[in-house]
Amino acid sequence: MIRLAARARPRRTSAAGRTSLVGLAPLLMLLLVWQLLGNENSVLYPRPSRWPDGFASLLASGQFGVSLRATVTTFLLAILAATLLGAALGALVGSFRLLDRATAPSFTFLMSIPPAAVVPVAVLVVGIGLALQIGTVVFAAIWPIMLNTAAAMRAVPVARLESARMLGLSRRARVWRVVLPSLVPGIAIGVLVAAPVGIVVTLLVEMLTTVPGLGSMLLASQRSFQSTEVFAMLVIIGLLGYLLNVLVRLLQSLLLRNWPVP
Amino acid sequence: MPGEMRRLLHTARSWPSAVNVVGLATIVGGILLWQITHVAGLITFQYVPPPSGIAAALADAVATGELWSPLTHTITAVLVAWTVALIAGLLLGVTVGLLPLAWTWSMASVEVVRTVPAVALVPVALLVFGFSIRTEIIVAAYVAVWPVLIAGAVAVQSTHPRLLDVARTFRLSRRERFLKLLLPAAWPQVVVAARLALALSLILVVLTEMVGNPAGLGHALVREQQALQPESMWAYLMVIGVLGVVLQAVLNAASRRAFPGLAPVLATGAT
Repeated sequence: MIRLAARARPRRTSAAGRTSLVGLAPLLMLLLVWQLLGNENSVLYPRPSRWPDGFASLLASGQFGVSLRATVTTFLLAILAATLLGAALGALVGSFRLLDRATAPSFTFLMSIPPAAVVPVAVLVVGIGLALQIGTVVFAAIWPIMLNTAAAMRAVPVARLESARMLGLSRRARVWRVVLPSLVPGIAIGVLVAAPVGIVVTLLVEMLTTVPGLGSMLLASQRSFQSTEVFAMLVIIGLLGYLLNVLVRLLQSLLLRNWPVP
Repeated sequence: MPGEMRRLLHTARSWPSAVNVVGLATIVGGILLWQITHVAGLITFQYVPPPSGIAAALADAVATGELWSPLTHTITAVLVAWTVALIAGLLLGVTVGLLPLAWTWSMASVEVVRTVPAVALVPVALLVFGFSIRTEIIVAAYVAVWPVLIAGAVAVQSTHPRLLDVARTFRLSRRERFLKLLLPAAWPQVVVAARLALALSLILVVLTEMVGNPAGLGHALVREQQALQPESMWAYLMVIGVLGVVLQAVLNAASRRAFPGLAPVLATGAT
């Protein structure tokens, strides 16, 4: 994922390569066919025209607003924590080669544990609550931020650090005014990769621990075989995921637009 | 880059990383520290057993044969899902990448469908396909197919123009151009996507086992948690983690052997 972003190659300047709106046609066709061929009272495949009913019954339950707020809050807090921690860890690992080699295998092991598998263990050890939710999301989303920050740290030109030293900047000033600004673009790319992971894991923890949130609402709908609600939730969660990703992307481009360091 | 240079780079990078003594020492040291603090009574968490207890639980699961059926179940599901995702993703991705018209008329749908967070699909799939290994495979393959599809499409579509000029100069036929030039040029990105797809397959298979299908390592983990058996629960967590590492390592080794030219790409991606 990270490599793909870093190795962007020149593209042919043809019509292809750009995403155009007509590309939505297959999806719309599928929904249309579903609508036309679907059974009015199907339990498993409710026709798309019935999905709004599901949304209405979700709204009527009064849970929706609370759940939405809970999910978004958890996600934002966790991404913030993952960014701070990941940037700090990445800067350390990127500065000290020995530390990098000493910790790499442990990190590789931790990275390859599916985030879902951590939840049952954390439920027993930490207990169900916001700490568990944020901890699990950080556990899953921290790696791209850490790796990209470490790469940015290694890429800081030696000349830049030496000239800062030559200008007589204190150690503190060097860190805050030279090193940190050089890391920001790397951190931003890491957050961009981490955000979708964070959303997924936020929903996941809600599903597994049934704390209030969109994830647990979805699971509850499925367990009570309310399939119109399930598909309505799917659309809502898809939209939410899309919006949060757009938000992160927007913040990133705003931040980096006039950033002095490439 | 000439092949000579690449090979040199490869050996220079892979030699020190072959055995990372410091890194292994850190792991061993960490485990020892965990054990010592436990014996000394510094860790008071009720459900954090000492490593020796976890090891004993694992040995027990191996001895009674309790470990094998969930382990093979999970491995089977992951590998089948990954293979399906790889084949389908490559076929679709290369088609979309080669035909601009197919790209224009499909990629927006792919982007929309892909934004639905993967976990949200698990309850839907359980509802539609029921509790079976089939559901695990369908969910995992569905999620893992997108990175491969997109990597394949982008890689084929964004082949460097100069390579295409070379093909024209050598008067390669369409077939030759595809097999000798476009496909090899796409491999690095496809291999990276295949690794991502493998990780996603494991994640989704374990998750489906945890919330739905009562089989495999995911289910074993939840079962031990509910039975309040922290030792076996931790043991299963470790097994799942090690399985992830081993699967990735095998894929790395295989792709290194199959495409020696890709070694630098793989070495840096593995950090």
